[in-house]
Amino acid sequence: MTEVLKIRHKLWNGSINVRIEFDDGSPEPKEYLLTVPRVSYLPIHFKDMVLYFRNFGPVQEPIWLEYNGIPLKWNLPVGVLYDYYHLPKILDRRHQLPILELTVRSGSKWPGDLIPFDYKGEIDYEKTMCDNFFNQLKQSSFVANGNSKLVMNLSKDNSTRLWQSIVSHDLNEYENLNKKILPKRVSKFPIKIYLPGTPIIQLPIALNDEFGHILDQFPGFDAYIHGIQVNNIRSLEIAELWRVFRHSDNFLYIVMV
Amino acid sequence: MSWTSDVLHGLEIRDEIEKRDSIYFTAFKQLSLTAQKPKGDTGNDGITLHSLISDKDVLINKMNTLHFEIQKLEEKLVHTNKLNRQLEKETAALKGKITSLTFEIAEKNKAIETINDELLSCNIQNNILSKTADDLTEENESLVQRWMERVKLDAEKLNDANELVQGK
Repeated sequence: MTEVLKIRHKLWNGSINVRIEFDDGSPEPKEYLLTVPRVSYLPIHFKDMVLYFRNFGPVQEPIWLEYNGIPLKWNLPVGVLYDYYHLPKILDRRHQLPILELTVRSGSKWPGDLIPFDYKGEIDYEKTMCDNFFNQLKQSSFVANGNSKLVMNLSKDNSTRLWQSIVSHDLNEYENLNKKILPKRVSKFPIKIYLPGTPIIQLPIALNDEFGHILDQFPGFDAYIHGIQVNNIRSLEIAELWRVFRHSDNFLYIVMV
Repeated sequence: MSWTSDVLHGLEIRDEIEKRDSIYFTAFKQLSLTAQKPKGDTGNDGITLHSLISDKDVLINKMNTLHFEIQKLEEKLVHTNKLNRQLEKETAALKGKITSLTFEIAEKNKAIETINDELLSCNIQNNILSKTADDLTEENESLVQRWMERVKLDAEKLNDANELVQGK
């Protein structure tokens, strides 16, 4: 049991180094470096990033990030973005290229497949991210519980504190508040499977199914959760897998590589 | 090797790769935040902000570690409480057993006392019978003695009579 706690602790503390490049037209593109927890979200840092790049010239808003020309879905946890976009490209040389290299894009030509940010005078990246986070929580709660009452009934103060615990990466606060919205009995498991080149896959998973049942649906693929290959734990029950590996929005993200 | 050990090993390797050079990335972020101080601020404010950001990160890390320790202790407490409840149950069962055994011993003691009484009366009876047997043995011996003496007298008389007949 203590080993499960150790795993949860390590999952919370996992982080990725990100190098963000901004082409301001000068001969040398400007760089912004940051370390982001795998369970956190990139838009939390957008405001600071814009302020930083404005030291070198004007930056139009809203901004978005691209990985090798592909607009990044900012609403996904950083770890999932890393595993989905970057990991397949560096599997055989993971030690050499661990840094996630992204490019800032800005302007009025907003990519169609990205969720737009809220405008109210100025763009509030963090608020949009916060709203999106709670939408994810409602979705996961609905799948797990058949309704989203637990999330809807969370007081405004507790909702703010829950989001702040993600922003400040405070595990104690997060777990104390997340306990309030986790259903006592789970009827279905909120799981999202990402397969390169396809939309998100959601599978009907029976309560007592083993993880191997999911793996068997994707022959020839290796499953990655939180950056580690997990094909060797196929006999683990889905319930335990979800309990241990779920993200801060209570979804379990599996990336097939 | 259990699945947890496998996963922990995988996470350690992942962190070793992904957290390499994190110190420089974190330092860059802190310095960039310091550089964003409002115009007109003195240098000291920048240093204070930098140290505050740095302290905040250290404190959050400490808090997360402490949270992990608390969870471990809570888990230990739950386990200890469970063990305590189990031991309390076992103690109650053993106490019940002791009570029934005490009753059993008391009953057995009563039975022993009865047997002792019976033994005592048997001993008394035995003593009386032994005395009677001794008396009868003594009487028998005296009767045998008397009979022997009588037989001896008869034999002597018979011998005398024989001698008298033969002398004639």
